[in-house]
Amino acid sequence: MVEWKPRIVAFLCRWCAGSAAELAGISRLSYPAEIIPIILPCSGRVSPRLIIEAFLNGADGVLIGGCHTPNDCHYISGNFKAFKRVYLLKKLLSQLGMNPMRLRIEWISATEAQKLVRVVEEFLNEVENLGPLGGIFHEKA
Amino acid sequence: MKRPKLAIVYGAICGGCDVALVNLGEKLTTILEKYDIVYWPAVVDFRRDELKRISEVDIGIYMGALVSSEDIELAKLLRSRSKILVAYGTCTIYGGIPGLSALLGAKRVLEEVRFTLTTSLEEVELPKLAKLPELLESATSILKVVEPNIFAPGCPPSDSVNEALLEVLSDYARGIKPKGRIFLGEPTPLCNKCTRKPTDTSKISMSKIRRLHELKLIEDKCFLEQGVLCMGPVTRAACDLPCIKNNLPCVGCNGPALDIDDMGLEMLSALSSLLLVEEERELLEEGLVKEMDRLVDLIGILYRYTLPSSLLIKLKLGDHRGE
Repeated sequence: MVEWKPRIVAFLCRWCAGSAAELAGISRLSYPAEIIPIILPCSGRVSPRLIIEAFLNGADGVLIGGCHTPNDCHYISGNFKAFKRVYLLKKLLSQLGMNPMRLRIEWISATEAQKLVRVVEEFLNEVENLGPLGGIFHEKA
Repeated sequence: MKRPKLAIVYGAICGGCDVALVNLGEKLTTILEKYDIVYWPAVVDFRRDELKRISEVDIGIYMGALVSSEDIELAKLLRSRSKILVAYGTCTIYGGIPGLSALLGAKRVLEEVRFTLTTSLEEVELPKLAKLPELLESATSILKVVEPNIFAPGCPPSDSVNEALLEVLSDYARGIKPKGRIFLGEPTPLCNKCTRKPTDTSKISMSKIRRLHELKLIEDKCFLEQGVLCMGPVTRAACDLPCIKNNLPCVGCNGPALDIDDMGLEMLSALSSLLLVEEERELLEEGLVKEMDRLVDLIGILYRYTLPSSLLIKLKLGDHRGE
């Protein structure tokens, strides 16, 4: 049996969290490879559907990275929209019987590469402790 | 001339669909005169075996949810016999209210039913004696079992949907056959038809969340603007707005509007864009959380009628991983 590793999809906004990921690369900070970063224009663009589809397609955790509130968002209030979506979705998922910890939203500014690395490591650890979603293990073919 | 045959079959039905159809009164009887009713438990006395024996039915109408193995068999049987299959009512098409049992699962549903105070011990033993059909883990949409030709949404289907159905029936009797997949009733979201307009149609903002008893409603103003959750933005406008006209918000009984497949997620997304947009800067995360915590039972609000056909239930049942 191959050891199970969690898979995490991260939706990062292009202006803050996404830039932080790039800065982490430039600064040669390393973070776990289990995370799949997807850069979007704005965290407010992440529809609940994208998150659910990520879970349905094999993610064990979903991280959303946006700009700090209240004033950092490039599109003025996208981060608040993202926050409300994620909070309501967490409520929905916990009612369904899923651990809401599998979904996480963080504000990471373009300069906070260190914070990105810390959040990713922390989140990965949490999801690893929760185990695979749906109790099915990923095995290499 | 040979009259076309009509069969109406029940799944898990509360009876409302039947009443809605019969409510058409004279209009219904004039059309049914042109048909032979071969099966309809409420009207004619035929057993299920007789439905099996009939080689072909022209129009088969399935009403009610699919909650047991028997319902699934019945839906398959009706599909195999009918030229035109009508999925009648939200339960059949999307799962409806019985679909909420998916949250508990079959085992817990049975436990709840068997061990309540009002159930006597003899009843508990009943399933062991009689061979009962198996309860499905979750009520399911007819679309997951067979492919119907005509869909009549609504809980129960409104007069306008019923009249459209009668039109199909009367056309069929005259030899005009319906083509393709037909959804009866207005396909657009309910807001398009709604009479309660917001002050500014380009920008609705919900400055609070209130339940109906917590405020005095202004009768011709948008519910969302007054802080009452209304499913209008995502619901198919296949009804004649009975709730809206009676000062009640839409609960989404017609199922999702055209091009929406998961109305709950869609509404959640819309809600996040409407909720407290003016105040978010002062409230910050803590204030937003406090206000959003006023929403209890989100699944009951967003998925009251469509849980079994949602993406969410795939997560719950764990049938999503192809690997």
